[in-house]
Amino acid sequence: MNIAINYDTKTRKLQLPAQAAALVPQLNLEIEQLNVLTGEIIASGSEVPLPATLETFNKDLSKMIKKLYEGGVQAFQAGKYSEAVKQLSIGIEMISRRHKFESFQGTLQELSLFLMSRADSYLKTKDYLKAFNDADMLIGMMMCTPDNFLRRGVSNYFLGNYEDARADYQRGLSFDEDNARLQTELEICLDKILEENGDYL
Amino acid sequence: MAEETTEPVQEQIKISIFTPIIYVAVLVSIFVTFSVVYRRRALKKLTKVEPIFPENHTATLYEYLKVQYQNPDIPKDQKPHEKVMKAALLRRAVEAIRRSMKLKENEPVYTKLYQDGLVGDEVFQQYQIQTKFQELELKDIVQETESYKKGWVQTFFPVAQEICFNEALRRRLYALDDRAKTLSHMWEHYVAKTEEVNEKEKEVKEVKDVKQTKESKPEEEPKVLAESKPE
Amino acid sequence: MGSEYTYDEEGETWPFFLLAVLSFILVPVTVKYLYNLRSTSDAKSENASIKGAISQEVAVENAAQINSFQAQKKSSKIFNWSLLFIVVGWSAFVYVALNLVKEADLQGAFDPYTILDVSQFASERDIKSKYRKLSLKFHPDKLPKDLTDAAKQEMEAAFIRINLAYKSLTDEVTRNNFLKYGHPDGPQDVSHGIALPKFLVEGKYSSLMIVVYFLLIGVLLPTIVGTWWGNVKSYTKRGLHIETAGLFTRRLTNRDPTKIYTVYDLLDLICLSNEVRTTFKHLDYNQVRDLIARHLNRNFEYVKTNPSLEAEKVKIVAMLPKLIEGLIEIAVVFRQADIVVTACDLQKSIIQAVKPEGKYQELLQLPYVDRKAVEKSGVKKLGKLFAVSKEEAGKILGIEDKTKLEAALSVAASIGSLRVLESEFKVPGEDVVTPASNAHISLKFLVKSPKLKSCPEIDESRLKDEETLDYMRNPASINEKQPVLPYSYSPFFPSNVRNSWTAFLLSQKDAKLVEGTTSYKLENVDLSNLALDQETWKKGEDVTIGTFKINLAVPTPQNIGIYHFRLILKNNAYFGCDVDIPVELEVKTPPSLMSLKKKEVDSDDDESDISDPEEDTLAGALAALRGQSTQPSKIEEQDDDVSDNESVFTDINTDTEDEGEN
Repeated sequence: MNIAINYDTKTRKLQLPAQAAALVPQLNLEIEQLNVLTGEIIASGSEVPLPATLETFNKDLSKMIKKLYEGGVQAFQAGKYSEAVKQLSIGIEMISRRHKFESFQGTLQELSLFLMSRADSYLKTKDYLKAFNDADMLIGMMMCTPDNFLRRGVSNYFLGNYEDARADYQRGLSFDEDNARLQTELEICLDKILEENGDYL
Repeated sequence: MAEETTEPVQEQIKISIFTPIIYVAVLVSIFVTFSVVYRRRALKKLTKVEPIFPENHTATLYEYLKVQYQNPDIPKDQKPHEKVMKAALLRRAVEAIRRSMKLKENEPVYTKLYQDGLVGDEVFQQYQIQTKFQELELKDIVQETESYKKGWVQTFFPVAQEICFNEALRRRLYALDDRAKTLSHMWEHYVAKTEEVNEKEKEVKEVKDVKQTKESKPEEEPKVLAESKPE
Repeated sequence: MGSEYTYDEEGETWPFFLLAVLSFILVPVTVKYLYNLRSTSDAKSENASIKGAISQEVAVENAAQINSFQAQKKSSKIFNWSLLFIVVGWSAFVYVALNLVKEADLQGAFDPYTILDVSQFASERDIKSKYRKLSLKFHPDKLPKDLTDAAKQEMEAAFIRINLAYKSLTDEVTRNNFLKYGHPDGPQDVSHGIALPKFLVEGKYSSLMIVVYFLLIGVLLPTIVGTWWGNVKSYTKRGLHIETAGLFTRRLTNRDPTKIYTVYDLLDLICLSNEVRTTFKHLDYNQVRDLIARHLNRNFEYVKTNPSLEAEKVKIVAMLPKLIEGLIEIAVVFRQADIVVTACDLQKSIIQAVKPEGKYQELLQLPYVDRKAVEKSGVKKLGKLFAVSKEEAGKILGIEDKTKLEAALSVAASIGSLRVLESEFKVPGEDVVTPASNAHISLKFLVKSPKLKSCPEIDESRLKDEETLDYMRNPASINEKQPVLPYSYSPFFPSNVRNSWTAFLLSQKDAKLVEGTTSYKLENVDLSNLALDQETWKKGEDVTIGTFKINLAVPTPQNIGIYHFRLILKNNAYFGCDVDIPVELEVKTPPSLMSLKKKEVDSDDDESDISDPEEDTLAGALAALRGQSTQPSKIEEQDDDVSDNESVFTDINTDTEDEGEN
């Protein structure tokens, strides 16, 4: 490596000279990630990061996150959907601030709750693309619940992707054949596809 | 008959004793040159083949820091802090785990590609080399952990794995905006347009909420049925 | 003389040697050449004989470039190096055959039947009488006196041969000799001939000969074999350059799980392939991409301003489908369904010269359409064009000219989609799908023109397959009994593309392609339904039912239960006729009678007691799915290959949601 990396002894952070950073963005990204981890290890106080358990899960953060979630749900119930989106987004941001060596399981649980609720709120605020994105991420994390397929399907439907919506509902039904909600939505969607094609049964 | 055959044989020997030797020598040397040239070419080709994974920055970074860490010429307070070293090693392990898993996951893929003749030999060779290399990399990392704290290995890899997963999760999260951009471009779905559509269409009641608040669920569905006409 | 080498001094045998060598090389080369020539048979004339083919002539702006590309391709198929080789080779062959081959001296060969002029099956009596007649004629005592000495000798020789021949057919010993050695006198001298003149081997040129020999064996042969092998090794079995295949493989291995791979990402990747880079060295990457973008947007500005660049555009576009297919093939092994589907869409966009963004591809693939008008209309589907009046359809498509509108609508009406009537897993000869059996997917469908509405009722009995021997042995054999699909209507694409559908089987569980399956091509479809009018269609008596059987290479799961799949059929040329349906596989134990016959079927399962065994297992299977602890099965993807950043999350239990919501 021919590039000199600056090391700040006080902050214990590495830094690439600006020019080099532009030249090798990948390395720069890597250095940033390293700095974050260093900071987290120092902040954790222990000599080496401890394996993730319930005890090492940051409880203060958990409390705050829980509060945000409750706030979001309350706003949703009160019909203040953009407020709900705001609260939930802050919560998601907070979750992503957790130390990286904290329990993945725990993080995932929190995150999926937030994403589900935020997807629902986005559906209400008619940000269907964002709703799609959140639902898509949930499914991407292999959270294959019928509800998540419903979320993505409904988003797709309102985005005009009727074929995709149909595929989502059908996939959801493969996990729960008797899901009434999915069945009705599927019917609506199939009718829509026919209508769009100028066809009828 | 015997008389007839011995005569020409003696004549041939008279012509040159070296003929068979030269013959064999030339033949052998040709084959040797051929195989040497062939192998050298194959090796050259193999080194020319791009490795499966891009450059491993975590490993280079760690090596770079380590040189400084162990350099006696640098005053102690100028050296990277021990925790920086640990973090760098963890990051190196994260990448090593990620790569090892990727290789393992794709093992049947590479075997099938190779068997079906869908890729050249060198891709498969690269795969095998890479697999070996990752094993060595993990071993190397194990040794490194011992130099910082005895017995750290026990907790080191579980922690590294946790970091690996968590980072994957965060990458997904941070990518949400980019994904939205890509999608809106491909679907030609722009916000202005959405709003236009929104005016005409009716909202769909959302699932989880329905469950939670126990609102009149049946009432909602007909709404969707009757009024969900984005056009 | 005994065993000795003789040289070919008189040039008697080497021409034969040469002819043999020539024919060994020439015959396969010629056959291959002719085969290639045949395969380029005219698409138009072939389409004329296929029902439902689109034969609409459409003027395209870059017709000159496309025509010259096709002419060039055609002429390069006729006039190429192999033609030269064949011509020169066969001329040499004829020359050698006519001028150098001397009258073969076949005196050595001895055939008593020809000598006596009797048939092979002649009786002894016939032979005897013939012999008498001949010997009377040739007997030395009976010869006329006025013959010359030479003539006399010849006659005598003939008499001896006749005698020998007669003996060999009648006398026991001579006969044995004839049968064993081919000559009535017993073994003859064997001589090994070298098909070279003596001076080359033993004369002063012998050293030259050695040099030639070494050059041949030591240099030429390894070089030829080496280059041939090198060529073979630098292309995969599917004709993709290995560097390209390596590039695709690396990209798919390292794919960013956070990224959505769009049609353009795949196009970028394909433009990095060895094929594109080496063929268009004189253009840089951005130029290539720009030319393709112009094709996709039907931008023909270069026809006027830069015709040579327009010609390059045509050339680049023509080579893309093969590369896309190569990418699909590799992506199929990776089981990355999203890449496969996106690549299929890219293929269509290229072939129809339609931009991949937006949702109007179905209408934009038609000729003469005005893109702005289409996008403004909000109509996206072909079927809608036939649900409105002609004027309105013209407005939607932005076509004012009547004949042009007719042309566009006629193309639209001929793009048939597949209306699936039945899709199920079947095992030939069984009523149910049994565990670990060789099932196939059976698809029954109607080809439906967009102008036809609704769907006729089809009686169950018409969907049954005839259980012929062929079907029992190989269900997919039914596919080939249907007429082959015509060439696609693709006026903007420089080559002729045979229409086809490609099927992919996905697992509903992880939305990946099912392990062990590949892509399956549907190339035979009867399109006669396209010509039906609405009334006949709705009645349904005269509709043709199409069949597509997909043989799965993997056996069905070991465990009883319901498995969910998604079957996708992508058309290679037209938008708006893909199929995407869920398919359910229910694995059942065979009825008790069957299980008695088959001993492998587990013994501790007494189905006779339980009236409805499936329901039990069904619930079990569903529970298993919910609990994510599905039994590893052969056809289903196993979840335990946790690795890629996404599948990492598999070990999360689904309870999460409930916990949080309570």
